[in-house]
Amino acid sequence: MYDLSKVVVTSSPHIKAADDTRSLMADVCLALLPALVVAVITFGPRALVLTVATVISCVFFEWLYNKLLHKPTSIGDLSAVVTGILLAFNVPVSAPIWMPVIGGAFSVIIVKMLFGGIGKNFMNPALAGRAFMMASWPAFMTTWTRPGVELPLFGNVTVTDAMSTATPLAQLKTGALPDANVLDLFLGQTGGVIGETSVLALLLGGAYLVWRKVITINIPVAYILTVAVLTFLFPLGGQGHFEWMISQVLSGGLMLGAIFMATDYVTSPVTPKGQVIFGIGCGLLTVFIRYFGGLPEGVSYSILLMNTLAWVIDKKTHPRKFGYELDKKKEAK
Amino acid sequence: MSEANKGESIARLIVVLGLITFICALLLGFVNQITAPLIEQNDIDTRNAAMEEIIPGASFEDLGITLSAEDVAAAGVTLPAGRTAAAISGVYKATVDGQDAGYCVQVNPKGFGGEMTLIVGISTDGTVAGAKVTAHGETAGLGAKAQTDPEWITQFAGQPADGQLQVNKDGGTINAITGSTITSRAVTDGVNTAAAYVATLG
Amino acid sequence: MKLTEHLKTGVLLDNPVFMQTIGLCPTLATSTSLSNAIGMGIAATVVLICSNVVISLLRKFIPDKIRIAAFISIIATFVTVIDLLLQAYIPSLASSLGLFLPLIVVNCIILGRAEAYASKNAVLPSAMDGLGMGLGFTFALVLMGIVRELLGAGTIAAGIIGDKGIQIPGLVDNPATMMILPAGGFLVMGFILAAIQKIMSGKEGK
Repeated sequence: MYDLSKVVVTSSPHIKAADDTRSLMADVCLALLPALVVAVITFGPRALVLTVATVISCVFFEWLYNKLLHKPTSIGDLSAVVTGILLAFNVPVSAPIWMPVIGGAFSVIIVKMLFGGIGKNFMNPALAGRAFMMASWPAFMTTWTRPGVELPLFGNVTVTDAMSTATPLAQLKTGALPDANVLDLFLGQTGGVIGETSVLALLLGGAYLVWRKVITINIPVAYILTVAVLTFLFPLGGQGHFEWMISQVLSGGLMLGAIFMATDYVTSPVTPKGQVIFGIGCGLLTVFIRYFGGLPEGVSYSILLMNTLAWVIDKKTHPRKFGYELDKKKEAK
Repeated sequence: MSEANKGESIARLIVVLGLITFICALLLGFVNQITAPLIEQNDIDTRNAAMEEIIPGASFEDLGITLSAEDVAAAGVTLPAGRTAAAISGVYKATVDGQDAGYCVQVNPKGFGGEMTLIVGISTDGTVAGAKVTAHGETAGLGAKAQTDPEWITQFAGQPADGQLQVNKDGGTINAITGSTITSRAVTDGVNTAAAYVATLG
Repeated sequence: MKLTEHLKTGVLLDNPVFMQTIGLCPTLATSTSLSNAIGMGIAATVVLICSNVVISLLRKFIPDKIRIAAFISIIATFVTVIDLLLQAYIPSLASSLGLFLPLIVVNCIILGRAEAYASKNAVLPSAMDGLGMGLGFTFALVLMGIVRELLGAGTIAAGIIGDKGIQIPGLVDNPATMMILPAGGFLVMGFILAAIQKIMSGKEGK
């Protein structure tokens, strides 16, 4: 006789096996390409140099980790490449190149490999790497140059007042509408980190991922809608509801975070219901941090916080087997 | 402690614990007697060193003023909107060669890690002579730079002593320490409080 | 047990921080630099030896029911004495340790040793136990302090070798500040624990 009490029966969706991580990751890289192109056009070739350096760093440190610990190499799955691009996208173009390189080492070794490699990390490596850099080198992480300023390709940058600019979010923080108009925000002609500025390019990439069925729209839509509704209902500084909402949604890292970071398989829920809850949670936290926090932007910390809750959301929203839960309740009585 | 059944009457418990705490109290009183004047002298030395740095060559007369934050506000000190005055724990009148050289004020604004102590010098020409953090509980590597970074605090020297200074994040002229806006605001509050209070002294 | 054995137990085999994983709050908070680590370590060691000796002396006199209250009174007294002495004679150290100096009172290593060892053993072994455990705590702080100061401030032994210590070129201008923040403390702690587990398991395997 089988002891059925020891068999755990769950209904679909079962924890998915990444049947072909490599092709998924290749799709993500492709989807990030438009944003990279816009970044190079907006901020100059230094954006490309930073991105390439970060990607090389991530891949190298993953290879090195496996090599040193005599484990089979895992860089072929391209996940380190995605981490590298996303991490570089979180850095202002004026940052010294060594910074995201060290950030990449932190992301890959400490956040990802030490927890067992892809699929086992409990936080998005790129975002955790960003948080590490933010805590370590806040000055480099919050210096913004205006689009079109020529920067050296490799050397360190001294940002003068003439080159610097306030990000749209910093202006929103004070309750004012940003100088940049809606079209600038949509196309990405504003200050900000490399990959976050162009809403158009990020949406293009997102649409591609949805079309390729790499991601579902649950998390991004729930996330962005939550931010939109909250900011529409509660504009600051006496601004018009609609103008305020549009500026909030198009500014900062919301699109980059909602489409590419919050949808990371490993660190977000797998059930559709769970994904919606996850998205709403991210949206709430983002608005709370933007309104009440010390920093102007809250996307990365919101997603990191929700990452740590992904497992419990999954557990609570797992579809129950027909009749199974009822039996259990009866037994309890 | 293994012998559980030795006389454990309530009276015995009270006597033993009373005795222990009594001896502890005696010891503490004794040590405090020895160290209190030294600790006070250390505080005075720190303060004097800071004041000497801010208004060099001056002699200081302690006006014996100590005011809580509420008292300071009641004395007519108003800070920029949204900021509140800090407590004042000492006001010292500076004289250089018999000439009036302004005041040094010891203020205690609330920082990120509790109360900070800083000395603020106000010149007779209506500018801030300088400021120095003498004690704080701010985060090492971030807010602690208010004390450890010799450059940062010097930006207060020469600012108008109108009590209306603000950090750049709030639209003012003071460059906040990166990642430590709360500390920067606290120091600015302290300088403003000192400036506005000295203005009431006439 | 001999003194050497007490030392071996306290510093290595039964290190309060790395093996028993107690007293972590002061460990994380005060291991931001080598000078802080040494100061905190010595202060805690002195308190630990004094409290162990007194509690061992009084172990037959203190009734079981009020032992914790009595221990805490004794420990708190010694901590306050040390705090006052430091403020009077080494004010710079007292101000950089700040709140964590009085908080030695609630460091569970000290109450833990009082309860687990001093209240059951003679005076001399208790004193040696205090010394061993105190040095173990100091050792842990120093190890973490060196790593965190190096990465998080770019210096070695600042405040000990001159005011600024040995400055590491390149690192001192842009240190990874996170390492001296609490998050960095947890990270360094994790790495050291992992390394120790690895060494220990390697030894046991053979």
